[in-house]
Order: sequence, then C-alpha cells, then structure tokens
Amino acid sequence: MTFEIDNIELHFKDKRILNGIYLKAETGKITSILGRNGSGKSCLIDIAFGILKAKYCNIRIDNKPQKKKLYQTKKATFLPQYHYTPNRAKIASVFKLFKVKWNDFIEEFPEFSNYKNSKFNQLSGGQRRIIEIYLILKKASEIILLDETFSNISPLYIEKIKQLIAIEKKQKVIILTDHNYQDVIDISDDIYLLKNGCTKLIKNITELEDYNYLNSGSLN
Amino acid sequence: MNNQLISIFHFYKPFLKWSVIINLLFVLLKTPDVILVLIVKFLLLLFTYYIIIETKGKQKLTFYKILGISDIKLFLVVYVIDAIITFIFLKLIIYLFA
Repeated sequence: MTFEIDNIELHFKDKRILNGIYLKAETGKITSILGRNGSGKSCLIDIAFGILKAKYCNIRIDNKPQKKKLYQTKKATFLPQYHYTPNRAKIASVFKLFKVKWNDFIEEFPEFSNYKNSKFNQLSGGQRRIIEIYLILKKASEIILLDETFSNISPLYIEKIKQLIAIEKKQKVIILTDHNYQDVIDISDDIYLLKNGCTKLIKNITELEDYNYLNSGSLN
Repeated sequence: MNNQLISIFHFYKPFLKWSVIINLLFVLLKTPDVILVLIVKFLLLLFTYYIIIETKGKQKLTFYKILGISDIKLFLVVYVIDAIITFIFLKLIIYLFA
C-alpha cells in the first residue's frame, strides 16, 4: 500500500502553518517527520487522520483519492501526543474494544500483568503511554500514525517499542513524529523535514544539519 | 459495530446520572411531557457538544475516532439511547402514578 498526502494548506487566523506538503509512505517502510516545535508536525498528522480540517488537503491511498476522513475508512489508526484512553475505562475493556490480546501484551511487558483490571487513571503517565502505544500498534489497520511516539517513555521501553514498530512495518504503513531524533533516525527508512510549512525529503542525514534542524556536529 | 456500540455506551455512562436527574425534575414539576423532555435534552446535548469541542475535552473524542466513530455518530447514538431510556422512564412513571 502507498499513502500519499499533498497540497495541504493550513492557516490559524493569519498565520500560515502548512502550505507545501508532499509525503509518501509505503507498507514495509517507516516514514518519519522531523521538525522544530511549532513546525506543524502534529497538525500534519491530525489532518492526515481527519481530526483537523485543512483549507486544502489531498490524500491518496494506492493512487486513489480519499474523500472520506481517514478514521472513517477504518484503514488507519492514530496515536496522539496526549492520553487518548478514557480515565475511568478498565484496561481489559479497552483491549477488548481494540481487539488486541492481553496475553500477547503481557508476553512483551510482563511487568504489567497486575494491571489487567485497573483503570487507566491508576497508571503512571509513562505506563499509560506504553499501553496506548501498544494498542495502536497492534490494532487491526493498514496505516499507523504516531505523534510524539517516544515522549515520556524510559530508554528500555523505547528500545522495545522500536522493535514492535519494526515488526508492524512489515504489513503496515507507519508514519511517525518525534523530537528524539536519534531514535527516529535509527528506526526510519524515509525521513521528511518539516520547515517553513514545507516538507523536504532527507536523502542524507547530514542535511538535517544543513537545514539547521540540528546543530552542526550533532551527528558525529 | 458491536464494539462501537459498547464504546458509545461507555461515553454515555456519565450522562446517565444527569439524564435521570432531569427526568425526575420534570416529574416533580408535574410536566412529564415526553416530547418536551426530549427537546430539552436535545438542546442540552447540543450545548454539551459545543462545550466539549471548544475546550480540551475535545481530546476525549479522539478515542472514539480511533474506533471509527465520528462526533456526529457518537452524539446521535447517545441521544437515541437516552431518548429510549427517557421514554420508558416517563411512561412508567405516568403509568404508576396516573
């Protein structure tokens, strides 16, 4: 499957946020979006999923334009940068709603085995984030959009999540954003830099320094 | 579809308490007219929707979108569920105390 998004124009009042976007993602590849704070990464992901309305937006899946919002097609799932699970929902109930097996989760994260009947608001922010990421990665869908994937996650869990993403990419289109550029570079097949409302496909990692996303010498 | 309905019920749960309070209020005021109650509840639900989308509460709707449920579908189904409960509740009250 190929997923393409282009011709996006987004303004907040008089401020132009996005205006020259082209992004292509494919099954079997992890496509990442890097950019400074406020560059519009989250807006782009929100527009792609259909929860933010842009003035113009073209989304194509396998070259076919999508008229419906992506979330209504049920082809895509989305990890927002905030906690999306209801505070008072039982963890086990949400696993059932997402049709994700609790036992598979416990195999990966045995330290969570006592939390099956807990509610989401009884977890720490990091624990909750891990469950939320797992649910999104394992939910049946063809496209996964991940916003600020590794935020609030400890290094050991980041490695585990990177492994899970690498497994899921075999049958899914994965698009992710994060500020932790080393993890992003490590896992990505394609990287786009979002700057001045436009995307630039990064062909050589050193371009991230050339475009002033990273300080020179950061990649050494 | 079944999972969507279960998740909408989950969203409706906190509203149920307020719905019953409104029903009881109309009963106490001796105006348990089903149509009137349903119109009032529709307006209150519209107001609730407005408050949610204009505040951080909007983020709570993302969970339902991940499950493929649009805002309109979510609030419409909540209204239908509540209308059925309200109808049965008020008819029962009228039957018992008429």
